[in-house]
Amino acid sequence: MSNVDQILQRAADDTRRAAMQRWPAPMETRRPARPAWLAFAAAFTLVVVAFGLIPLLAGTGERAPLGDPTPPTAPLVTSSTVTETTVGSEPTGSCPSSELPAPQTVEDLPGAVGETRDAIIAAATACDFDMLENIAGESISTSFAGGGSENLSIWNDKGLDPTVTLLHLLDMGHATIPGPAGEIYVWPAAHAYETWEQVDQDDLEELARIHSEDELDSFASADGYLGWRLGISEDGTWLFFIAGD
Amino acid sequence: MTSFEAFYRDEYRGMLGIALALVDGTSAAEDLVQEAFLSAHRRWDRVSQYDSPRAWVRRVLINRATSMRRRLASEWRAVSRVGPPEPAPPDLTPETTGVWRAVRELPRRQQQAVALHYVGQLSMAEIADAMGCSEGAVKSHLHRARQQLRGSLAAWNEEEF
Repeated sequence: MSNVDQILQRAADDTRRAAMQRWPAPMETRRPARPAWLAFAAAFTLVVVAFGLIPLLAGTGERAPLGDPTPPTAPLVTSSTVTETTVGSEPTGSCPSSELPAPQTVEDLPGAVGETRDAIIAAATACDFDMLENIAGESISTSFAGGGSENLSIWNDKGLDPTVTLLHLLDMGHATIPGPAGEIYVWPAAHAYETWEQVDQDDLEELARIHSEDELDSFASADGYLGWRLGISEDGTWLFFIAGD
Repeated sequence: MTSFEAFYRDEYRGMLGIALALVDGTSAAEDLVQEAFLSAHRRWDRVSQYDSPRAWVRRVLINRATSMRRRLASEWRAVSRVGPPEPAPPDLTPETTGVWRAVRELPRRQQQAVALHYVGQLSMAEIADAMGCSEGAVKSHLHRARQQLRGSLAAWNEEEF
């Protein structure tokens, strides 16, 4: 057994000992209880709304005819937007990527690559994880879970929405890198650069959509782009969607 | 079907050991383990049906370690401007703390292989499963990790201990 091996074994023994002394922390698996003031505020709001409606209804003395085929419209207020929508329709905001502009059409991609890109865009725009997993297949490499399309869903646990990142990525410039079986088309193009110096102002503006200034600084320090990137092989196989080294 | 509570109780300490090797500080390691178990809890109906739920939750743990360290590093940069250096975690000896710091200087996949092999005491097949690669790749990561550590750790070992 080598000296390094012995050192590692010793450290591992000590670490397991330390871990054995810790009791499992209680799991916070339930949604935290709402504070009492929030319940009061909700009840108060309901009362105000109810009393506000009574004079309104009494004043008109009219009721909507039963079976009216035209659904009424009303402004739907979400946390960040006020949108005119049809009552009863799917509220906006449940799929943040649906509010993003569609990525630009790219003409110079091979057919299979373009089809996969379009399919990912369609699935991401609809926040359709099942479709994303179907496109990804079993061989994709993803961050957070080591690989396998099923692990795309783990993104949700990170409090991140992969669909938004996917759409931003596929709207950036692309490049090609050599792969084991032909070219791999990668987004963003910065992933194909040999050094960070090749990243120009346009690239930086694109990358700033998905990375903070600190993260961009760290890529500069590492002399290479280590952020989110996506690769599709020439035959249209979605190969990776990863970040980090 | 194993209950989630039993699974959590049985696996917690083993997961914490691996986390202690991958992130700096006991509280960060505990947070990491909690995050991984929380992920399993959310989809326990499905995860519990897997051949090895523990392999799944380990995979989540090692993948989350990378993003957690990136987050901690950024927080640490902010804190270090105003506060004293963070003390070594009290549960580990200074030697062990130093060893894991050296391991965390290795490329990510090598760190994962070392943590799962030495602390987790997993077989090559189990490590390959957790890392999503072949057993050959695991052996290669371990070999390269030991080679890289040979220089840094052995010289430093003579000085420090």
